[in-house]
Amino acid sequence: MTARFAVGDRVRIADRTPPAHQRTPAYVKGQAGVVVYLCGAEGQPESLGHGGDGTPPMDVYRVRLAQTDLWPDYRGSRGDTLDVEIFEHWLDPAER
Amino acid sequence: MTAHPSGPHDIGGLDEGPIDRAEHELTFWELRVDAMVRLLFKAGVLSDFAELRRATEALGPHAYEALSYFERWTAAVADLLDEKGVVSNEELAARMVEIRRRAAAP
Amino acid sequence: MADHHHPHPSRADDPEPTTHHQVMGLALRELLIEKGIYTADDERARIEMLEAASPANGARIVARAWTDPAFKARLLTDPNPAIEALGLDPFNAIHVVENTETVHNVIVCTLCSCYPRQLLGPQPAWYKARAYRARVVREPRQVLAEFGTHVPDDVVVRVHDSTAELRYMVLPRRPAGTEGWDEAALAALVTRDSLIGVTVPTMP
Repeated sequence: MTARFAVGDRVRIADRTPPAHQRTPAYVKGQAGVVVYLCGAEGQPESLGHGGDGTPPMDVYRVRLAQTDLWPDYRGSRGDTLDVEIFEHWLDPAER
Repeated sequence: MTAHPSGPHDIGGLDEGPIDRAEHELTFWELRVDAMVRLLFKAGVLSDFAELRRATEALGPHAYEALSYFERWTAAVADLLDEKGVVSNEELAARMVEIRRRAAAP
Repeated sequence: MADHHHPHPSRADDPEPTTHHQVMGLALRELLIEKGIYTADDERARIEMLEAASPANGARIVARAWTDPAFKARLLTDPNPAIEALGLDPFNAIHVVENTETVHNVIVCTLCSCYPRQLLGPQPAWYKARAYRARVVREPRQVLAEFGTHVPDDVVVRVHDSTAELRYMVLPRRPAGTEGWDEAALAALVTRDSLIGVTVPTMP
């Protein structure tokens, strides 16, 4: 299985809250950022958390978000960033 | 943030006060709970850390806030072991009564 | 059963577990041992392993990276084999993030408390608590300032929210004035908090 996204791709994190265990924090949902690293494939938490086997494994991406996008009132430098690991089934391509 | 938190653990970005930086050395009880959790994985009774996280998140907002880290793990393990038929809630309750009685004995 | 009251030598003055959940933990432990899921010896071995893990492991890795550029290159690109070559077992897949003149890294796990425990020992209480997890992603510079760390405006602060299986460790910058120091002396400068990124190593 090949990874859907590559380093440098711009992606948007899905804004949904399924009634299951999940590893996508609410504060990054709906946000767009850039893939900076491919972490490899891991079992899906939505399945593993509920006794499932996590298959099929999903690629996990480190996505870099701008702090000023995340928080309109961000008190810091404009270049500050937040990196978060997101499973492929939580990502869609985003416009540049 | 537009999304709702997925549970009481999903707290990134919320307003909070100063950080309490006091150091805390793990107690022997805490070390035992930690060992219990890791040994339950090793024995295959718990299948994945995601399962423990799910059970911890399902304790509800009140318990999540009121309990310490290792108390949360304990409550989550108790729920999972009951769910899996390894230790029933009844068996656990009976043993807790016995431990209290033992501790009270002269 | 004698094992029910078996004080740990170094923990003899711990308070007796008395809360509802503490008694629950003791009861679970007894029942699991009786059911043969694990033994008291397994528990003892596991606790010894937990107690053996300390930030000294992370400090050793950093001191080696400061003195051996080839090791540092491997540590940043393929950390687990590099760490294993020092005789350490990282247990999880590790990712090392390097502080530079232009970037300061800080680690958090907002959803629980993921942490490279084999390399850093147990998490500090504040790392697991609500205030740090909630705030450091939103106001990292203010949080760092509470730890006495003031990052210049022209240095990027990069927060890492550890949400999947990788465990993060910061490779801090080597303090100026330590030229010629040996690894042991350098390692002594590296604290747990500097490996999380809330502080930076300083000269004594």
